[in-house]
Amino acid sequence: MTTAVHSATNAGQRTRRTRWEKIRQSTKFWRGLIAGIVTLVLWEIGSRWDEWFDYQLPFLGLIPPPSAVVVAWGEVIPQYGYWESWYLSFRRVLEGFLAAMIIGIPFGLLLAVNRYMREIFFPPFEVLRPIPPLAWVPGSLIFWPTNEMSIAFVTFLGAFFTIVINVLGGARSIDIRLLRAAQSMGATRWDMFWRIVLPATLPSIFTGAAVGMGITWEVVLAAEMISGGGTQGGGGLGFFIWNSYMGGSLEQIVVGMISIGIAGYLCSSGIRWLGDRSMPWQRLF
Amino acid sequence: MNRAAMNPEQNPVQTKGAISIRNVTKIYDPEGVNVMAVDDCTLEIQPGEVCMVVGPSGCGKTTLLNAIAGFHSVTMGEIYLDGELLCGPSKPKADQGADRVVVFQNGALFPWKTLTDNVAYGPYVQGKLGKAESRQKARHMLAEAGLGDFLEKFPGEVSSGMARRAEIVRALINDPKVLLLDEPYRAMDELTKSIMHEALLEMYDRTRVTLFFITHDLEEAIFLGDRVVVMTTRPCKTKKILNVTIPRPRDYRVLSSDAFRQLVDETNEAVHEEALKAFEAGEREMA
Repeated sequence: MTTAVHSATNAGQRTRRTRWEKIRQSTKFWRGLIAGIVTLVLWEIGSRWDEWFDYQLPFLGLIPPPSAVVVAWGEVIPQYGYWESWYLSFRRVLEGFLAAMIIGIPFGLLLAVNRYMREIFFPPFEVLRPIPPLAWVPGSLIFWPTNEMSIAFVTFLGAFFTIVINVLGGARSIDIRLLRAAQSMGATRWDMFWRIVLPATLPSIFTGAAVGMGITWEVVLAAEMISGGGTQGGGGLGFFIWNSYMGGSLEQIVVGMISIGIAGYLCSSGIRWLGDRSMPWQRLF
Repeated sequence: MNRAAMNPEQNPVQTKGAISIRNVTKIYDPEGVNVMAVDDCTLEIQPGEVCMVVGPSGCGKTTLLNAIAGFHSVTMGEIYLDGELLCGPSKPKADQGADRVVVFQNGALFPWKTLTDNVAYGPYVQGKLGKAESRQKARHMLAEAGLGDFLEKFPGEVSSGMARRAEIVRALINDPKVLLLDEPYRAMDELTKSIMHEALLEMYDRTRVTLFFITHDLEEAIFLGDRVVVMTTRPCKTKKILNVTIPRPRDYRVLSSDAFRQLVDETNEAVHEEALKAFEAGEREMA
């Protein structure tokens, strides 16, 4: 059944099956669905073990059951604060991530095409790169005037190094025959950059973006927990979890965690979609 | 094929594309270790000639090609194209230009461009044609080469044989004086190769562009070439030049003719001697 799906990718030809039919007929979908349901059932049983057998399972017994999480979720969904947390975290992630892309991609390309720039900037870059973004938190809290700015800065760092190193690596490993072919057909430096170097680096740019996006979420959450919910620069999903922890609501902690999972998934799907749109030649592989 | 029915007299007589390689020497000098790749090599290639270059691996054939293309400098000697100096003592490295286009080993089509866009690239970046006209011409030339059904495919979507054909079209659209081919059909199965050969000969009969063609395959060299230049092992110079007198147009039946077999034997002898030398030299370096 799945092979039929692949053979339908010929240009112009559309399958008669609708999208939903395709999903319903794929083994991948059913396998995933069953795995999800089995996990939830086991989790529910494990969490409620002590209610039925007078014995609390280690680890699992301490976690609230999924049904309780769903109830807690239902309680927070109408609340303004929950959605504001989403909004704040999302905004921070996108700000930091976009800044890292806007600065990181040209910087990586510059290092790749210019030997002098590479010799000047690469050594300090490599010294700064291994420092975990969270190690920057105390310093940036002191350095930046507001909490919001320090969170933005740390988020930016999380994605920046990954993006630069990927762009640099990708642009440096372009097949020399492609460059020579372009040159021998009379390409100017400008053409070489826009029509050869950039498209050849696109796959690495998207790899860097996908990894960087993941790091950005990690960093934002941690930074939000540290900075707290003060008058300035508070809130966010990280703070939501921290707050639930302080308030002793285990269910809400899990709600926060799953919310982050969903948010991260949305972001990486977005990047994958963009990558797919901008690199049609990669879809064949 | 209908190529065989064509009248050879109708083919254009080529007047451009004469390469003159005079006493060229190339010494690579990474960190003071002198490696002589090419030693005092002299070779005259006529306009419209198919010059096949064979020799042991690593003998410096590609170095020579790179010097003509302008990817590398030469240490001594001069190379002329139609009487104009490409490189010499006053100008160690030739300018890269669309009059000498290279077809690379394993193919170098841009994977992010469709076949049409790949072929249209040259005239477009040189500013000779606008976007639409260059694509129009590319489509026309691809169709001529039998790739009409694959115009909007990416290189990853077509077979290696089609990709290589498209690459030759991409070179030819620039109307080059010389086509530099660096083992373009390496690692292809014999069947695909023979189809490639016929396609190349068909293209050659149409354009009569000078071909500087590097290969390891002696049968390929004799089947395609006007002359076969056997190179010595490193440092590379011309060891023997064989004239292939088999008349054009040629097709696969030539392969079984006596004249062809005899030429193969003759070339084989010269190449084998050099390959043995290269092998022994390799042993010495290992010891």
